[in-house]
Amino acid sequence: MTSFVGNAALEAWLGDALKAEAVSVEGAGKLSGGAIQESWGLDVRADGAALALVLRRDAEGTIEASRSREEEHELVSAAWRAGVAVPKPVGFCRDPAVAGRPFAVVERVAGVGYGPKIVRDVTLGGDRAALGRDLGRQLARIHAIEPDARLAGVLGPKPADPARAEVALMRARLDDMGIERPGLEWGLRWAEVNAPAPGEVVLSHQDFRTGNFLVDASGLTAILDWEFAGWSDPMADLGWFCARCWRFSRPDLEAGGISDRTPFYAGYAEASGRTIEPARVHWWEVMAHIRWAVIALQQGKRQASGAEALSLALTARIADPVELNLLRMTAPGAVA
Amino acid sequence: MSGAVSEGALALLDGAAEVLRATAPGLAPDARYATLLCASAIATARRDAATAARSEGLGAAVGDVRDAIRAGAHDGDADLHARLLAWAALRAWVADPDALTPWERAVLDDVAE
Repeated sequence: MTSFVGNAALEAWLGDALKAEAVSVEGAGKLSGGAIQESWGLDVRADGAALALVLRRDAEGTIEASRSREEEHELVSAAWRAGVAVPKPVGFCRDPAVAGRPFAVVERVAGVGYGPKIVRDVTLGGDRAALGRDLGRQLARIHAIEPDARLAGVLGPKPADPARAEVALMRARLDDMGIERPGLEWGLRWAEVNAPAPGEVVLSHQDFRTGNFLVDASGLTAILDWEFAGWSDPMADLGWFCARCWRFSRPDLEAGGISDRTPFYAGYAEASGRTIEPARVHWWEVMAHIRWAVIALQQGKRQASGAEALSLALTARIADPVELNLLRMTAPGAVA
Repeated sequence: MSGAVSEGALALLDGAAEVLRATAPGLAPDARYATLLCASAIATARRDAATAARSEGLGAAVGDVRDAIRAGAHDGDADLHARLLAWAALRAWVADPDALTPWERAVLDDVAE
């Protein structure tokens, strides 16, 4: 494993990125979370000033749906310029010789990110209705990002029909894994039959959920994990955020286990000018269950060893309770 | 897994998971995480082993329906949905016993240890 402390190449790269004459990495520690990526906290001294940074690079054997670190860096940079609460980007290094693999560096933001803890510990995040509203506003800012030419190149063309494209993509992922899951197939057929008509397509975070943002005692500090971002229906992010599988121990708080839907929807509607379409959000909540089950199964297929291998194998098992929720939502006669 | 698993084997798995859970609090963070992960994996494997035959039966009752579902041959098929739900509920219980509603737990009452 490439060392970060005493790594002259890394210090030289940081010197360029930070526009500093003298840079030393004084400490490095792996941050928790991130089965798809590794995040390392770096304690850096640059021209005498102490800086707290985060270095992100691919974990071994990332999954197909995940963007490259360079693409994610472009997305975070665009979000930063648009005023979204994200860690300030420092730079991206393509040279694998510097730190083992290409990596991005951002400024470290204080806060707690572990979803079950945020839901459970109401001393975090400040007033929960205000947090729900703020998350809605932040999501609206994300959806307002107009990609420049460089980011547009990363994102590719807009899909004409994001809903049906998502159904086709999930079927393809199941087929690629060689896994037959009749329960997920049932849900996918329901989704195909009930797919909303194509509408507006925006830059969508696509993993906007409790567990992928940081809070401190007073509220939101940063939105993280941009590796799935791409074009989609604006209601897709609302559905993902509200899906039962991301409410953890507070299924009654339908906006991510944080608040009820009202402040979250209100914050989004105020800042975006869009009208929330509950049926469309519901459809994307159904798709959220399918997508999370597929991602969990993909995780179970990844190569790893030791505790990580065990963790990935247990993650794959999450597909079963997620599938159960999906079947509850798509029972014959259930409201679409 | 196929075939019956003896009560003695299930008790061994219970015992192993219990020992790991009891040991974990005194360990350093990384070792504690790994130990609790092992305890969780053993408990999951124990539930899987205890219900494998029943799960196999529920899966057989569903059958190979992927292509028929995709073709729309089971649209609105309440009977198939009920069979899918029963199978998914059992597997969900294996992964996370708290995932079931009280009604689902009652339907699957004989899976409880």
